[in-house]
Amino acid sequence: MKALVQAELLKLRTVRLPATLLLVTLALVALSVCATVLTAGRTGAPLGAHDPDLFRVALSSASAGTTMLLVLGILVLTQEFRFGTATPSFLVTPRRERVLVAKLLAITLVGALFAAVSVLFAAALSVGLLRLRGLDVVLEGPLTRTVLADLLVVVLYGPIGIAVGALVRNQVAAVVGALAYSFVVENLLVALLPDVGRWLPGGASAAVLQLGDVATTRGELLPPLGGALLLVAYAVVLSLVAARLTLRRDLA
Amino acid sequence: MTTLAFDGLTKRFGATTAVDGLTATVRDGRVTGFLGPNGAGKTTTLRMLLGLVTPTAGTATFDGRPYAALQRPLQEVGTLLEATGFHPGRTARDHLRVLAVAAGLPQGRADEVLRAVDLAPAAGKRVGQFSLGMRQRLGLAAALLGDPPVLVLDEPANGLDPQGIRWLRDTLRALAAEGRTVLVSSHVLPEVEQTADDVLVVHRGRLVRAGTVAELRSEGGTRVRTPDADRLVAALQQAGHAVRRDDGDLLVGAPAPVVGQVALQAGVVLHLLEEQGGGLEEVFLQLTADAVPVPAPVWGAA
Ligand SMILES: Nc1ncnc2c1ncn2[C@@H]1O[C@H](COP(=O)(O)OP(=O)(O)O)[C@@H](O)[C@H]1O
Ligand SMILES: [Mg+2]
Repeated sequence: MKALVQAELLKLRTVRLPATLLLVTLALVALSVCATVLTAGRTGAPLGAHDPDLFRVALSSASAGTTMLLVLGILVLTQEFRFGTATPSFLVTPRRERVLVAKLLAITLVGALFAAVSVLFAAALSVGLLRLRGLDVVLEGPLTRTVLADLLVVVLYGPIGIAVGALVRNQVAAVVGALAYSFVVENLLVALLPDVGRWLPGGASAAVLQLGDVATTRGELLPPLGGALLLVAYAVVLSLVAARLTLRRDLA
Repeated sequence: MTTLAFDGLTKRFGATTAVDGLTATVRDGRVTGFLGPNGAGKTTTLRMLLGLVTPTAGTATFDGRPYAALQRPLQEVGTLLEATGFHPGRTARDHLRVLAVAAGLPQGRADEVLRAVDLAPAAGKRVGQFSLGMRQRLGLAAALLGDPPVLVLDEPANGLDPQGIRWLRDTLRALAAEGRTVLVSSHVLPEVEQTADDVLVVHRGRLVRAGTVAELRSEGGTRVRTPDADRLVAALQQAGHAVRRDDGDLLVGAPAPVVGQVALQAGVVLHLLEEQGGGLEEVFLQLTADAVPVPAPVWGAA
């Protein structure tokens, strides 16, 4: 399995996609940090310029990469079918579920890297912008837990992407479907069926983010650990379904 | 040494029967040509052999084991399938390195096999910029990565220019000379004729002939001329012989005495009855010929 994970990591290192998505992730993080720090204290902004939570909320922008990890996971899997590299992959490793497991592990490592870079970047940018505005950097509140929450949600979304990709196999359908779900369908579901909301992936990640004590507006959520476990469960269950149903299909 | 065996291998895609009860053996240490016109079921058969397509019925095995049961597949069986299977943004060397790492082989093998297929100068190029011929070479390099005793190659000559085809022929000969078992498919007989020891001919998913190249060369079929062609064709087909119209004559996939006997029983007058010295090509044509009215497009557009 170690060799397979190494091979999956090498696959990721030898194409441009991960670097591109990392740049997009950092752009999203930057947008979110800017929005928090630059608006603080202005009318209508949620935080005052001297709010002790300002730095921590800006830092929590590091979770902006979750969607990119989801997309990366989906593409990692669906491109194997789109470009036909699934054929050599399954020729080397005929037990296809082993390839799936290696991909789940590899993307977890990549997610950790994305998350760590995002946290460092968010921290540096927040400090820079606060200084620029002549504001103090207040290191108060549950800083460690804020960082931990960001790392967790980012890391846990990659495997879900892999599983969704394995289930859907078609690249465009999977990416469009996942984005439409995250940005539209889930919000509708939450609005229409609030009790269901906390059990959905979005509710689960909101639950994890509670760790950081950063205000969320999703009503009753699971406890943070419950949210994290629920995200893991989504990845595992979807992967198991894919392994049984779609992964075995003919590569004709 | 490894023996490949197909036993009752069958694959249906909806209403299409791509492979229909194929039973055959590929002998070890020999080059076996797997021949048939486009759509005959060659690719589907090889993909079932490699565990990529699940058979509807039957088995395909290496020394009795299905591909999925091989311990180190790349070291046991080298594979070249059609020229897809490359990420266009990955370089040739990286493509091979990924496979080497997954197979537990040293990454240095990538450059070794690239040299073996004369692709070393393009090692750092993205595969998206490769010609079809270069992809075929890269595919062959991947097949050689684990230095396997068995090679399964699906239409390796596709996309190669005449020089490349000659190179392929020499390479296959050299690989066979090292004692490897080679199963190589083609819809163009001459590509395989000079390399293969044995041939398996498939048509419409069925095995229509298996034998050595030498055996098939000696069977050229029989040329018949008759004023009553339609009746003779019907009689010959009823007797289970392949028939093809050829310039006013009929070419029959049976020896002259057999054809004469059928003609006598059908009460048809013969003006000519002549066994062809015939090359393997003629045999291949006859074996895969469709029912008479439509001459089979045997080497139709690839
Ligand atoms: N995935 C598939 N779905 C439906 N039909 C298929 C599929 N793959 C092959 N076929 C059909 O099966 C037959 C055999 O195809 P193939 O094995 O590719 O033949 P060959 O390689 O000899 O040209 C053809 O009629 C082809 O159209
Ligand atoms: Mg084919």
